[in-house]
Amino acid sequence: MKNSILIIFTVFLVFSLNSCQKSDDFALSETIFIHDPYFPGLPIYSEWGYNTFGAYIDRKPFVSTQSELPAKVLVNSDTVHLILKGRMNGQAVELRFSIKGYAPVDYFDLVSLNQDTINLKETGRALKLKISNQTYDLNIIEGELIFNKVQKLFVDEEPSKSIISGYFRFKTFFEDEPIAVSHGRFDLGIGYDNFYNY
Amino acid sequence: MIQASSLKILLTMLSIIHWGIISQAQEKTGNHESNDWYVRLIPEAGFHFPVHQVKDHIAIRQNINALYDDQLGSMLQASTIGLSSGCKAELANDRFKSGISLGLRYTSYKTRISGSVAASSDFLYLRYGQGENETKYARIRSLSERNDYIGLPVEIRYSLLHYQDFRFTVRIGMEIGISRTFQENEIDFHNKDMKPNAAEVLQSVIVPTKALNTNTYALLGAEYGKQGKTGLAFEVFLPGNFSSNNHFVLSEGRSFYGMKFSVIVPITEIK
Repeated sequence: MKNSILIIFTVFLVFSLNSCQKSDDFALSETIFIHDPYFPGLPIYSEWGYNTFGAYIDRKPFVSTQSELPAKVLVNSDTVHLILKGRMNGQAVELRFSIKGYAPVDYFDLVSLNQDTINLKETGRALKLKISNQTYDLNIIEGELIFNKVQKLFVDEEPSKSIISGYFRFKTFFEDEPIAVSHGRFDLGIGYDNFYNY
Repeated sequence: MIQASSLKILLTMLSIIHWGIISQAQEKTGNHESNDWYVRLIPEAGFHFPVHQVKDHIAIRQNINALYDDQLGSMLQASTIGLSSGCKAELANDRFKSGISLGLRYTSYKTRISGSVAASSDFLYLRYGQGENETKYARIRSLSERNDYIGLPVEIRYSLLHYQDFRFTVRIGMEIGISRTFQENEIDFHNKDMKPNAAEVLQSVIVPTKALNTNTYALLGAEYGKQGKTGLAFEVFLPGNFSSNNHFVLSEGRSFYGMKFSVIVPITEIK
């Protein structure tokens, strides 16, 4: 009888601790979208790991949402891909930056990007735009991706994830017409759940 | 346009009415002759509720004051309460239905910030360190501070109405800050292993604040008791104002509400 009570108590304790742990992780993965009063529709620029991004694509806001994971970092061979997933005008939109010649082993290695500016016109850089189910390779006219601050996040003195924050803007041709992606900003937490090295 | 003669008539009528009220008051002053000055001792105790908001430098991860779509049910609570006690000596005169008082007051303010990142959790993330390549959060249950002050209240009282043993009063006052006698900041971590880091975490929160608490206020209240006998009083702040908004580390605000209870003890007559 005593053993049964002990087993039940232990199972209960394990479930309780697990549920607390899941709540901790999820709270840091939550999107905290604070509206920028100067750029309607876009989130503020921040360096808190608020898991948001936003930009105007020819004045239409392309922004992260509450329901979807806003960013993934994929590392394959010698190329790192930063994928931003959000919505524009009610449509699912995905923007992928590919940077050849940089291959972090894990998400903490991303701090080497701190204060880096990537010229998107240079060789080894590629951008793709996916709207609904249609993917377009973008022919970049000019543009840059700026990693303003990349930092390791510690929670209660334990390493948790990396926060990448910065800006982007570029001009490109889309369906034979030049478009501008402007006032782009991002503040993303990159950790176990959205970093892939394969 | 009001004629000068009409104004004279109006002022004369108001004077007659005012003289009539004074005369009635004089008949009801009981033991004191109408022009006697007398001293009342007034021990008091009360509550202050500052109207405040969390200071911007308190780096809690979610900016709860901003508009955003929060699906986890997060919340932030901030409260400050002041408890005061003191004693005043009032020089009063029933002919003028007023009194002036001077005393000493001890007030202790306690501020507490708490909240949760989600409905199912009991902590907030507080950022306490930000270097070139790292940011540190601590999971905290609450932040609190306590500030104690000694002040010198100077007040003027006027009795608006006198009905049987009740006197309805209005009081204006100023409490001149003399000294801050106690100041303490505390943090309650979600993870008890973080206790050794308390000093480092609090360092990110503590900022200089004004050492003296001077404030001005008005009170509306009622006294109950027979003339010349011990009585009771209850008063409400209308509200009061702090001389600055930088008295507390965790919150800021210029005004406060509250209430006060007093015992009124007649001491002497000065003829």
